[in-house]
Amino acid sequence: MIGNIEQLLKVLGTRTPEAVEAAKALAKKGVPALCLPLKRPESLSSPQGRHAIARLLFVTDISKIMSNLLDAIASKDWRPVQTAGDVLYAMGRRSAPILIKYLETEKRSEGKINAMFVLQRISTDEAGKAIEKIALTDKDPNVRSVAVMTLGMIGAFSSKDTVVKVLRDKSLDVRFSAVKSAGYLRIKEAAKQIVKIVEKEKDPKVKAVGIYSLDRIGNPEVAKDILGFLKDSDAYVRWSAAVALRRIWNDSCRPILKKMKDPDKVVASAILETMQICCSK
Amino acid sequence: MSKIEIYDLHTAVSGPCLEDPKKLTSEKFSEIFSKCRHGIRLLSMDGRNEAGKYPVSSVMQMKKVIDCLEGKMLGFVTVNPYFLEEGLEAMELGVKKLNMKAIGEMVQYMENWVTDEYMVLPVVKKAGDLDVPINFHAGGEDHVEGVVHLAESFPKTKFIMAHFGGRAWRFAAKLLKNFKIRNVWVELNIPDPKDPRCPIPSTIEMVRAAVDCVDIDHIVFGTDFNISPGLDYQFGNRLLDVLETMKMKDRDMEKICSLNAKKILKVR
Repeated sequence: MIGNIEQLLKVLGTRTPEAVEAAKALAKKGVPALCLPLKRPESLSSPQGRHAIARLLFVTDISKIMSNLLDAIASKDWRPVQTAGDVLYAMGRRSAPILIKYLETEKRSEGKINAMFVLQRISTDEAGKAIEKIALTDKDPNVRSVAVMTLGMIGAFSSKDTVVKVLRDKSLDVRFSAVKSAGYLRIKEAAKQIVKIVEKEKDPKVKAVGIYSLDRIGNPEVAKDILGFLKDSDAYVRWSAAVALRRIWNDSCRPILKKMKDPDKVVASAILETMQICCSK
Repeated sequence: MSKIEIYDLHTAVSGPCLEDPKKLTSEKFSEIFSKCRHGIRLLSMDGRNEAGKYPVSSVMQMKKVIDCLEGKMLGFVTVNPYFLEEGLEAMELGVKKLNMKAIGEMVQYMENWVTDEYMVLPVVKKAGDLDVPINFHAGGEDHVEGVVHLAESFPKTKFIMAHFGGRAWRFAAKLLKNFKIRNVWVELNIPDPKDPRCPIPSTIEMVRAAVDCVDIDHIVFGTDFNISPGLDYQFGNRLLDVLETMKMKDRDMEKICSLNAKKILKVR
């Protein structure tokens, strides 16, 4: 395909097979031209164009394009973020040290958040230390929230103390991400603190997520608190509590659970199953 | 190894073939798979986008297509939890009377519900009661998380995690391993090796992660292929290429290609 760079960028943004040809033609004009779409989001509007650019960037000498990729993941527009993120993800664990270094110096919240999203997908716990610092000190609660969640998702078991500290963050959203993270990392000592956070929560869906974290942690010291959630007005919360008791069981639950008659079929069935599982232990 | 049999647990029959099952004759079916260096049997669902809105008629139509293909295809029951009562009825009818072998694909991303939300719980329980696996779309972290939550909550139900979580496969592997989930079967597809981002070594890493997180007995093959005359199916060849490159033992290859599927679907 012949054309000047502006024409090629325009074709690249179309949902046509020509978008792929335009990407190839840009690549032939050299690395700066191939990286140009990352700075021109409208040229990445079609999936064909985005995928073609990502494929071509991936086979280019990474050292020549890395600064462009890292700049693109800090964009406020999703299209360069997705395209650059795709390349960094496809690099697999090779991109981890680069992203970790980037996290130590990057100032923009978008950049930090999107770098952590890539690290979540690569799922490497090498990133734990760099992310811990962000979870504790970043000014932006959105960044702290993603950071503490990432610690759980990448299985950073050595970061347990940090997650416990973040359970006291001043932002409710951040605290709730820490609740989820504590569930991934099964932090037994966080259970009581999580109960307090869940008790104050009003949204039943969020409450249920908190109970699921307690379920994963499996600390029987909070069994009575879980029983309390069986009186919640929301059926999903009660169901979550009934299921959680299977791992958080202690024998004092038995007489209380035996008397429970839940009006909701799904919850009643979960209580029955919990009784069957736990009473045969 | 002599010609191996492959069970593809994740295909769909396209709308036109469902409207007129004669469009998918046994000969046309064979043409689609003519370039395969393996025998093939498919587990298929209704490929129409809104099939879950009319699950009973959908499962009956699916049965007609299956009957035309002399045992080359088995069926899913397609359910949308927004239409719960009819969905449960279709599951009962499909599994008990029409010999359907699984439920799914549960497509939360298309129907706009959350993988583990309240309204889906009766569907999951019913699949467990009927003792058939339930296939959930899993193309990202949220879906993976939802499937794992349901699997932990319904230990008697067998789950198939479609696409092995898509790009979130490393996260899926980590969760399944860390929480020792034993009732999830990982569905592998083999990406196109012509895409430079998916070279065979990275696919091998994915297969190894699957073996490591759920063991060789919990891996099945599924492609999301939409069956329509004129198309050319070669996914099974890609699977064999990868497993052969890995120098996998014959018995383990057989497990991934078909034995695990036969066991979970209870077919001979």
